Amino acid sequence: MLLVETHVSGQDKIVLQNYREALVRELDQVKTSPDDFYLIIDIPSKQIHLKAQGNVLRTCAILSLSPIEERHTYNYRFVNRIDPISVEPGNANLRLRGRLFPLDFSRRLIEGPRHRSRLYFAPNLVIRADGVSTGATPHITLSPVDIKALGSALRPGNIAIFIPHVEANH
Amino acid sequence: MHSFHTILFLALYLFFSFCSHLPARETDIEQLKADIASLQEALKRHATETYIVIDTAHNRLQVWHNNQMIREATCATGSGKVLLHPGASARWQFYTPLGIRTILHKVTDPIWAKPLWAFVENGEEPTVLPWEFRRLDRTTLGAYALKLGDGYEIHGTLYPTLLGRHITHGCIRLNDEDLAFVYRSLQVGDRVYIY
Repeated sequence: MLLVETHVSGQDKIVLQNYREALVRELDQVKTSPDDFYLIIDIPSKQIHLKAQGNVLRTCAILSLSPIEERHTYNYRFVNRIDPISVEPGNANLRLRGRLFPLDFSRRLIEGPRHRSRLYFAPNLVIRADGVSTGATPHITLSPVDIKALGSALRPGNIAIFIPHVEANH
Repeated sequence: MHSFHTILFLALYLFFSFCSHLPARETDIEQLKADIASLQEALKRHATETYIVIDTAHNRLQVWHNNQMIREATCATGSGKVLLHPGASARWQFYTPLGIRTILHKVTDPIWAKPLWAFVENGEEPTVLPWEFRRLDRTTLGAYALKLGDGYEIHGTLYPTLLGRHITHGCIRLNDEDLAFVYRSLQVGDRVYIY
């Protein structure tokens, strides 16, 4: 019994150390880039928080995730978003009565984030919706609605502070 | 004497080695918790009490207070349309700007001074003088407007059935009830996060 208790206590310490490190990194982010959105990928609580200036803007539930090697709190960097549909080169610059062709609202719908967009981070992490293939790359799966929202929020260079899950045998 | 020191050194070495492999002590945990509380407090100083979050991808507006969402509303945001002035002397793109903005002014019964694009879009002859009667519109913006700078505002609408769509010229439209709540809840200087 004593052994179990002391073991849990040691695990708690690592969890708390990771949260403290995440807060240090978040505070640094808020001070150095106050105008940027950022993510907190909280694996122990299975949530991703979209934040800015310390304020929570959105909380997304993690539906599933593949094994991710990081064992300590770590900063990922958003690289780009790949959408399933991009503008056909042949349709560029077609206009009808001064407006983009074929429809007024298509430009946003075509170029904006989609439910099946993939969000790529460096090094080696993808956030995606269920059913979207990303090969062997470590990935986190969110709902399509959350993917579209995060795709709209993130710009290349934005950081994602990753808080890992602590295994019982660590 | 020399061997005594060696034995003492070895004993201390073994003791500290053993200690380093011991599970976390209560005091370590308490210290970590205190550090976390202190960092959270420091982070709170950067955060704001009341703020607006606008999800343009889904046309949702939320009012947050002390990190709790207290109201969610359907809004309308920028269409993404591009409008060209005849002769291509001007070009407008009607996007809601993404990023962080601040409420600069709060206005009741706002009057919309129609910009040039409003005339071009309707195929009307634009007015020349900014104070001409045709340019001033007392009904379109609703009862309140919260100005976000660069001509962008949160305001009302004459067409509540179009809320939830990407339909505006860049402003954020709300229905009357939600607009009144936002107007009452937010103060000049509060932040608006648009993504």
